[in-house]
Amino acid sequence: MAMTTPLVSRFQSMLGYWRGPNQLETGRHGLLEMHFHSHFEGELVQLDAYTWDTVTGETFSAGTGLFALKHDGRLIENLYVGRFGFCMLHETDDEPDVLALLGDLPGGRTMSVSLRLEDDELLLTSQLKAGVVGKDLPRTVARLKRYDRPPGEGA
Amino acid sequence: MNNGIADYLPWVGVWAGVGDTQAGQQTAIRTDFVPALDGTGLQMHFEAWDTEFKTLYHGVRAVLAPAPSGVLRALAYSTIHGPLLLELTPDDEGVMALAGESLGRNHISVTFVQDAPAELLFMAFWRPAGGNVPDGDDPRMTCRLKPATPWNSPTV
Amino acid sequence: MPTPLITRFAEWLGTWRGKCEFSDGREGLMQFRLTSIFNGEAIQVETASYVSDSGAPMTRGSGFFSLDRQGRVVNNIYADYLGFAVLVETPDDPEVLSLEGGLPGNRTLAVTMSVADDLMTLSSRVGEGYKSAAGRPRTYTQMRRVGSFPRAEGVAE
Repeated sequence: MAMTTPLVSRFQSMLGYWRGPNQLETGRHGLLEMHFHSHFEGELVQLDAYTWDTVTGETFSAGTGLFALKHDGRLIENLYVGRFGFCMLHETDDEPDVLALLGDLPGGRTMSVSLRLEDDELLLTSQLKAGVVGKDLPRTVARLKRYDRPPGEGA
Repeated sequence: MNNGIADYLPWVGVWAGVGDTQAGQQTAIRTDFVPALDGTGLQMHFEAWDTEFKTLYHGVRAVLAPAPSGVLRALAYSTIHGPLLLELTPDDEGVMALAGESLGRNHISVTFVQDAPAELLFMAFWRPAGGNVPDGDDPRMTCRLKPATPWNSPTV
Repeated sequence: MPTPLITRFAEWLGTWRGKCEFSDGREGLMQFRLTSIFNGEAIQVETASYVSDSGAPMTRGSGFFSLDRQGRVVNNIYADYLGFAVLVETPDDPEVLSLEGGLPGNRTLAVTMSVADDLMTLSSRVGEGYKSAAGRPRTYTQMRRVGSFPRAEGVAE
């Protein structure tokens, strides 16, 4: 069990496994599994995410994010997603119960991600925005349920 | 020349040894290579402790994965340097050479060399921005790592 | 040098998913993850099945493959719907792993597994007492390796 640190206290209610239907920006539907786990006595929170085909089970998207706190107390996420590559997301201002991050992708694109807990559901939204030219892709929304503990039990 | 995740899959497992930190202390190192991202990546969990396992000198968690271009990079977090993005430098077979800059502009270099079938030579150093490029005598963390093979009682 | 266990099961390591028909008639998506541990002395097997569309859990299990002194596979398992059991390899074709063992409550569990052309097939059947369970419904799944798992020569320890 990780010690409670300022970083872990931000993620306390998200640690564990979440799953739910998802649609990628490509339009493909699948089942998304997200696993938040902390390391090094709460200095690091790792997110592993997979989306697989609901019929065949084939994984068609996989990624990993490493969350840490900057000196100013804001979050930074070192992110890898197979189809985009590597990027660094920085926390941006938002509602108090929303964790919002924004960063640059290769090719002049930007990526924004937000996480919000609504009762026992984790709401994940993300959007890819084009650079100077090109078209923004639609914002994707996934509602995930926690399946590793009884509903309402919290972290 | 290497550069594929497959080249490093024979390293999957736990490796351990006693070596020296960059600051000259003796350190017990344990590192665990695990397939990640459904086998398209390789995760490394690295811990360097004092030899009584009271103080974690350095912890690193990293995931080596291919960018869409095919180039391998490592997403990492270090308890000393924070978030890192390390580039895999092309090298000989049996070598994993990673290098990059921290957000604090420190230069970090990490190398694993398989110099025997069951031995990884680990070397790492960091230097502040604008610091001298180390030659062979400059301090670095080094350790010879062996597979953590379970103990077997001697044959009677 | 790979251990005898890894030499035999190197092609099985990794994550597998596929449709599953349970003995009680339900259907879902089965996931198996086989990982070499302790430098190849054992293989950890984690299993989970989900409702395909929602991801809600159906079953969960865990176990270890190891070799006994005779070179037979011993699989100690836990499954949330079965409990704990120790399964021991029984004679079968060389490419097939057949296991059998006792469950709590005078029941027996027989499992048959094989991997061919990157397809893992698993069939299991619960019987009662000393009677053959041939006529009882079985749980059956065929799983494909997920992701593009690259394998090097002499993979995995």
